[in-house]
Amino acid sequence: MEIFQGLINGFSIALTPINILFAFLGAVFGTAVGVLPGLGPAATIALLLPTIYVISSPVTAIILMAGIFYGSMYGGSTTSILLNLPGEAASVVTCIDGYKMAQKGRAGAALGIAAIGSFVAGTIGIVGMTLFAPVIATFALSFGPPEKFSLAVVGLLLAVTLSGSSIVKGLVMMALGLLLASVGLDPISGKTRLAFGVIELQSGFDFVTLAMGVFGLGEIFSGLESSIKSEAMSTKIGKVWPTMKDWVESRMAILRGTIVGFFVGVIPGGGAVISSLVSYAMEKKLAKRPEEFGQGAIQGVAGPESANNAASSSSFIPLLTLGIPGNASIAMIFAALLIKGVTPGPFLIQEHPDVFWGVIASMYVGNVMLLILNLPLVGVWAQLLRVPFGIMAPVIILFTAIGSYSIQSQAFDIYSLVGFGLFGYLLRRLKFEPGPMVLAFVLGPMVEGSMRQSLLMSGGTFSIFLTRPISLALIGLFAVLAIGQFAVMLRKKTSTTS
Amino acid sequence: MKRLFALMVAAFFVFAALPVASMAQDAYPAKPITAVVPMAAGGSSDLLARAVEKFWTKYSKQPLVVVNKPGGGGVVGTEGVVRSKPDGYTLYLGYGSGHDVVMPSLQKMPYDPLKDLIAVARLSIHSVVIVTGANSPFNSVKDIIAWSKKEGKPVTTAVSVKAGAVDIALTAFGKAAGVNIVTVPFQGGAEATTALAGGHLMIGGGHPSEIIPHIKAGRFKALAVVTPERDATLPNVPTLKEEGINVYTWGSIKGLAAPAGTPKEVVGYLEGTVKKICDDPEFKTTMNNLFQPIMYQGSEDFAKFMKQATADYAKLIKDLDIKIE
Amino acid sequence: MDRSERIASVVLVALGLFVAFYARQYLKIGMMISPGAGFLPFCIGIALTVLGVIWFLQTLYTRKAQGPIEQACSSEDIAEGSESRRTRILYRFLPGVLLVILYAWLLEKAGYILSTTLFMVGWQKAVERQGWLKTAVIALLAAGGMYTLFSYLLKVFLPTGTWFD
Repeated sequence: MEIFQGLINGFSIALTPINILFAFLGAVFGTAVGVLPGLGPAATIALLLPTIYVISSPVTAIILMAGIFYGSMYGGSTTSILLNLPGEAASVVTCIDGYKMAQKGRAGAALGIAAIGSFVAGTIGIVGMTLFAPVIATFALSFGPPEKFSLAVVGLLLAVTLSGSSIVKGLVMMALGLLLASVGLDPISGKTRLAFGVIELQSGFDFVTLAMGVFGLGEIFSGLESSIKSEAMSTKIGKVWPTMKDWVESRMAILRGTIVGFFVGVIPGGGAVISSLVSYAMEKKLAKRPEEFGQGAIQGVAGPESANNAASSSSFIPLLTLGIPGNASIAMIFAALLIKGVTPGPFLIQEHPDVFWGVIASMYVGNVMLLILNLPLVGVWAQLLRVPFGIMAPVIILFTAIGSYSIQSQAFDIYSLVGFGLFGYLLRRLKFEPGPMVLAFVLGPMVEGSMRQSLLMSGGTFSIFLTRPISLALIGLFAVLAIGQFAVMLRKKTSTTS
Repeated sequence: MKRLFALMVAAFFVFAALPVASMAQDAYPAKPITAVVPMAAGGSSDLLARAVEKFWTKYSKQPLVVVNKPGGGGVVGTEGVVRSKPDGYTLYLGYGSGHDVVMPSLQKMPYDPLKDLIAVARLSIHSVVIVTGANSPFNSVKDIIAWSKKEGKPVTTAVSVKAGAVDIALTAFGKAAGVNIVTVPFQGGAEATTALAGGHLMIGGGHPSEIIPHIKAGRFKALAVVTPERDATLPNVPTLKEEGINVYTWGSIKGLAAPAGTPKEVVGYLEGTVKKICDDPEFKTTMNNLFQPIMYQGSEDFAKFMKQATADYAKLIKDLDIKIE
Repeated sequence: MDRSERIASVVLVALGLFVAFYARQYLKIGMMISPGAGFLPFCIGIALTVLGVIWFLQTLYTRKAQGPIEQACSSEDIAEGSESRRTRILYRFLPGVLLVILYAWLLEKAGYILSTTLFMVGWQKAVERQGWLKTAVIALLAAGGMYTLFSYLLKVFLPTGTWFD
C-alpha cells in the first residue's frame, strides 16, 4: 500500500542519527517548557526560530518543533498534578483529580498513568493520522461558526457540571469567567470593553496569568494563612508507581479519552480543552464509583490526559493536509515551514513526501522517547513534593511571575497575577471551585464570537444553529446533558427531603 | 564571621548589578535590536518579520530579535514602541498596517502614528484580494454585483479584524458597487480564510500570503485585488478599477518604524540595512515562498507615502461613510 | 463562615448590577438579531445579580436549618480560631502578598537578579523566619539558578533594570 511505503520511507528518515538527536532535544526541551509554569510551547518555538533557520533540512526543523510541542503536553500534566498549576488550558481538568491524588500521596500513580495514557493516546492518534488524515481534515473544515458555538456551549455546560455540589456556585464561576474573558478589545465590534482606560487591559487578561494566579498563587496564599509553620507540600509519598489495579481501572478511560481527543482535537481553536472536558465528564458518567471524582479518581486523570495528547496529535492534521494552523504552536511551525520553502497544504504529500512521512514517523519515535524520558522522572518529580513549603512557595511565585511577565514584557501582568492570586484565595475561603471559571474564560471568546459571527452570517435568525446538521447534533447533545443534569438535581433534592 | 558574611552579600549585589552597568557606549548597534510585531505569531506581518530577522545578521553585526506583542488590534504593541526610548534598540515592524493608517480615521488613538513614529523603510505591501470558494457560482466581481441585484440578499464576507485593512476594503467595495456586504470579522487572517475554505461564507478578503496557498490547493478563486495596480504575486488577477469599480486601497503596508526622536544616524543605518536585505537574492526567494512582494522605499519617501496612504484612507472612510458602530 | 458568604453574595449582586449598568450605558447591547459588544456583559450582569440573590437566600436557609446549637458552635469556633488566625495573617499572609507586589514594582527598575534576590531574602526572613545564613544561600541559589535557566537556556527576555541604564 502507498501508505505503508510512505511510512517506511518516513522511518528511514526519522531514524537517522541527526533526526533522532533533534527529536530527543525537542522532547526534553518541550517537557521542560511544559513543566515550567508560564512558558508555553508557542513562545518557545518563536524564540528558537533563529536557531531553526540554521538547520538546513526542513524535516529536521519540524521534528524539533513538533517534539517541543507535544513534549510540553507531557510536561504540563506534571505541574497540574503536583502543584495544581495548569500549564495550559488543556491541563486544567487534570488538576481536579490529579492534585487530589498527589495530596493523598498518590502523585506517582497519577504521573505514571498520565505518562502512559499520553503515550498510548499519542501513538494511536498518530496511527489515526497516518490512515485517515485527509478525511479528518475535511471534517475539520466543516466546523464553521455555528458548529463552533454549539460545541463551545456543550463545553461550558460540562465545565459547570464539574464543580462539586453547588450548581449556583458553579454558574457564578462560569459567569465570572465569561466576564473576565470579555475584558479587552471585542473583535467583532472593534470596541474595547471593561478596560476602564487602563491601556494594558486593552488586550484583555491572559490565560496563563489567570490560571497561575487563581490556581497557583491562590493555593499559596491559602497555605500562608492556614499554617504558622511551613511543612512539606505533602508528607505522604506512598507508592511511586501506578498499581495493577490503577492500570486496570484506567485502560478504558485511556481508550475513550483517545478517541474523543482525536476527533475533537482536529477542530481548530479549542479542540484540546473541550476534549479534556468531554473525556472527564464521560468518565464520571461511566464510572462505577462516580463519587470518587473530585477526590482523586484515577480515571479523572487518565481520560483527560489521553484526550489532550490525542488532540495535540490530531491538531497537526489540518496543518499537514490543508495548510491551516489550528493553534498558536502549530502556527509557529507553519511559519517556519513557509520560510524554509515548504508550503503546507494538500500538495505537501506529493511535493515533499519526505517531510510529511518523516514528520509522522518522527512523532512515533518522539512519543516513545517521551515515555522513556518521563517514566523514570516520575519518581524524581514525586520527591519534589518533599521540598519544604518555605522554599517551594516563593520559587513557584518567581516562576509564575516571570511566566506572566514574559507574555507581553510588562510588569502589569505580575500585578494581575497577584490580583488573581488574592481572588483565588477568596474563592477557596468561600468554597468555590476555580475550575469552571478558568474553563469558561477559555471558552468564552469561542462562544460569544461564534454566536455573533453566526448571526451575522444568517442575517439575525437563530435557526442557523438548528438547520446545520453538526450544529443541530451538538445542540441536541447539550439539551440531553442539561436535562440529565436537571434530573439528577431534582432527584437529589427529593431524596434528601424525604 | 558575620562581617565576612555581610561582605559576601554586598559583593554579590555588586556582582549582580555588573552585567547591567557594563553597557559601554559603543557605536550603534552595540546590542541586539528588538523588533516589535504587534500581531499574533504566524500572521503575515510576523512571517515578514521572521524573514527579515533571518537575513539581518548578514548585514549587521547585531541580531534583530522579533517579539510578538499582539493585542488591541495592534495598538498595544505599537504604543509600547512609541513610549520606549528612541535609541534605536526598540523598533516597530509592520508599520502601515490597519491600525496605523485606518484606525486614526475611525476612533481616538493613544498616539499619532504619523507624528510619534519615524518611517524608516518600507518593506512590502500586502494588498487585499477578494476571493471566493472554488465551488462558488461567482467567477468575477461582476457576478457578485449581478447576484446581489437579483437576489437582494446580503453577501456574507469573511474578513480578518474589524475595521482592519481587509474589512475596510471589502466594505468600500460593497458601498461603491451597491452590494449589501455583511462583513463577518474573525480573529486574524488565518481564521477568516479557514472559515471561507469551509464554505461557510460567500466571499472573503485576505492578503496574498494567506490566500495563495489556498488558491494553489484549488480551494479559492481570486476575483480582484483592491490596490490601484495589479499585485506582483497575483499577476493574473484584475484590479477593482479594471472591473469597473472605482475604489482602491493601499491594503496593509508593512514597514519598519522607530519612535520619534531617534537620531538621524541610527535611522540611516537601519534604512541602509533594510535596503541591503531587500536587494539580497536569497531574501527575494524567501519572500516569494511567503507570497509577499518586496516593495522597498527609503525613509523620506516612505514617510511621504504614509501620509498619502493615511489621507487616502481618511477620504475613503468619509466618502463612503464607514464607521465603527 | 455564613457571614462571609452572606457578605460575598451581596458583593456579587452589586457587581452584577454594576456590570449590567455599564453594559447598557457604554456599550451597544443591540438586539437579539445582531448582538452588540454589550450584549454578553449585560446578560452576565443580570445573571450575576440573580445568582447573587439566590446565593444570599441559600445562606439564610442553611442558617435556619442548622438550629441554635450548631449556630452557637460555629461562631465559637470562629472566635477561638481567630486569635491565631490573626497572627497568621499578619506574619505570613500579609508579608507574602506584599512581597510579591513589591517584586512586581521592583522588577523593571532594579533588574531581574537584584529583584529576585531581594524577594527571596524578604520571603525567607519575613515569612519563614529563617536565619541569615540559610536565607543567603537559598536566595543566591534561587536567583542565580533561575537567571541561568531563563536567560541562557530559554533565552527569555529578563529586564536589566532602568535604575542602571
